[in-house]
Amino acid sequence: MSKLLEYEVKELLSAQGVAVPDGVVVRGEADFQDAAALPAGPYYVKAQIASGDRAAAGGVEKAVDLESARAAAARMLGSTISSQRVDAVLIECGVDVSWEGYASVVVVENPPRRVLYFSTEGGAGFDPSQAPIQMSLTDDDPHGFRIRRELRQAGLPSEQLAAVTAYLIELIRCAQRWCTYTIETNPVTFVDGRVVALDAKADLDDYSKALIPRPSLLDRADQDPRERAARDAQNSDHRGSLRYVQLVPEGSARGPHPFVASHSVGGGESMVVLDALAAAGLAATNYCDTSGSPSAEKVATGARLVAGQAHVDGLFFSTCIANQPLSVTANGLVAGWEDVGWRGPTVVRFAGNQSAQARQIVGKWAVERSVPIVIVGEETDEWEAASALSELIDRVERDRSA
Amino acid sequence: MTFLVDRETRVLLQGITGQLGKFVVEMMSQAGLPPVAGVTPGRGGTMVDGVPVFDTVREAREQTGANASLVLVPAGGLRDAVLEAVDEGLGTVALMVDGVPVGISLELIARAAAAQVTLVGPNSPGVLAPGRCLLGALDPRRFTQGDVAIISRSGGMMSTLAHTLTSAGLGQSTCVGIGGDSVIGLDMPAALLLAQADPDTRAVVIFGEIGTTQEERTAALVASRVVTKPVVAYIAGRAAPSGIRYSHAGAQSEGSNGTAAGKIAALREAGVLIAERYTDVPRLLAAAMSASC
Repeated sequence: MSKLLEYEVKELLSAQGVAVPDGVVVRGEADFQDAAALPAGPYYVKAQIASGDRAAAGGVEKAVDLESARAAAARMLGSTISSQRVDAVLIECGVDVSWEGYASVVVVENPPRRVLYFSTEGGAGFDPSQAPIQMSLTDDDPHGFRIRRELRQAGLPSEQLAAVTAYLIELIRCAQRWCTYTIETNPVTFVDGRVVALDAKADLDDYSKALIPRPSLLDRADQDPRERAARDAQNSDHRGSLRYVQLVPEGSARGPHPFVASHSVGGGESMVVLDALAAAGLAATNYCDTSGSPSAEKVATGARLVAGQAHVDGLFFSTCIANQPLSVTANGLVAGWEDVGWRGPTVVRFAGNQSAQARQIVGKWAVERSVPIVIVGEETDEWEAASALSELIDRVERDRSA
Repeated sequence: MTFLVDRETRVLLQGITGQLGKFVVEMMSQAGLPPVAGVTPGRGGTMVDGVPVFDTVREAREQTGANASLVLVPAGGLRDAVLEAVDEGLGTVALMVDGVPVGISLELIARAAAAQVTLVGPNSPGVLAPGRCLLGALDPRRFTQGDVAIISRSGGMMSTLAHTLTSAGLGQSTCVGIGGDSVIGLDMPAALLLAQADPDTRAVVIFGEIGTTQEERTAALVASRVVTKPVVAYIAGRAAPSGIRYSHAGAQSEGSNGTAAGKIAALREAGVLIAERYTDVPRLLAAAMSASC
């Protein structure tokens, strides 16, 4: 799932015919000129970050005039709110609200389906499970008559019925068109005969890139450079999968636990590895999974990203009992490590198809390069292997000190 | 008998003539559990490793008695292939394909449910009843016949768990990889209900992970005594920070929702035995099974 920022969601809603307040996105001084064209205040100045507690964290300010709005935006730009850097601010005209409601379309489980939620009460902290309208949607939806029936049963006044129905129909269409897991407008209000989305958020399905009108929405410009490199490799080579997440950026303050690079084969195995490393008192700086029979080149890309982290004290590699030929994986690992000159403490655990050959390949490379390494097979579980890495890091550090 | 698949299941592969199809045929044949048919439109009348290929599922069903399908068709043709299998009323349809758009998954799951077809996946390695039937791309050498069911959100970890059980002398009844996506057909609670009803299954092992509500709903089934067979679970992702999308689309917790800690607490309170490491599963399972005798 990829989270969109408020202004991005409002662009999608607006293109779908949903009313949103007049506003301008400001990323720097040059954009303030556009704000001058906005109608008279008051204004709301909102940091564009994907965080649920934005207002409480100081990411939303009310300004009586443009000068105050400009000052608030300048304060926010470049600051860090809820651990996120603010690169854009939305300056929006205030709207007189009749009621503060809630409307969303969400993919839920049991059974999997989209559900439309609507309430004329909403705002911060609203629990959608309390919404009076919770309508399961089918592929045939939206149908105006179904929505109208629900709205009337919930007591919505006749004079608001057409506008709210039209709003909810477009919200459903927006969810379908943009392949969202969640599209939430909260609060919404009824003003001048129409419903207006005052705030909005959405999660887009990463697998629907080929289906949505603007695929670039799924390529976040603010991604970590290693994550972006992994994504680009995945997009250009579809053999197997490469997923990389930077958990601890380079330059982060060091705690009591050694920083360790993590690389695995298998989505479930990668989770197990994070747990095993933590249990051994090691802090994983990243998550990396190269599975589904990727090419050696793709594994090498992952290995370069993992081993190229300047702030790691050791490297851990482990596989589930994999079908993929692990000799291919081993060749990719060695190539990637060689490319970035990795020579640090390493533990490698191969389990599954061709694990013996894979161990030989990595073992030969380690001997040639004098790499402190422990190579194990499936007889050693991830927790024992992680402990072995902890001990190896200690030993290498002791030898260095001596 | 087992559940989902058994000796009577006759497997066809949709997309048999692709590279993956040929690999899966070879794997199934080596296990002595080859498919009875394959389907690739336009390739009817050919063979893949001795397996007859048909143009349509109907022809394959009528001529071979195929009653379950493993769909290997890439995402572009997946929807049509699954709808064909559903339209033919095959009992179980497993989707190996990864990266299925959420809208297509929702549609296929709804269509299968309406037709009373059990849809496994997407992003599933398939289903295996060791020694009886293989409806998936799983290395059967890691599995042995027995009476422990495995229900897993990870394909690789299902094989790993099966190997761990096999090494400890514990064989398996049915092993089902339910898929790592957040939108899947047969989910963990539904699979657990099938295991509970299966006379060949004495106990169940679960591999869960962060994200979705499957483990919490599973816990409710055990707590309410709808499920009475011993259940042992390993839940991965205790150390995985929330709010991050990892490999499996379903493995994403948000704030306090879907965390490993929350799932472990719910399962433990319900009476499910929690393994701190998956390698502890055989010990816990043996104790639970002897206690339930």
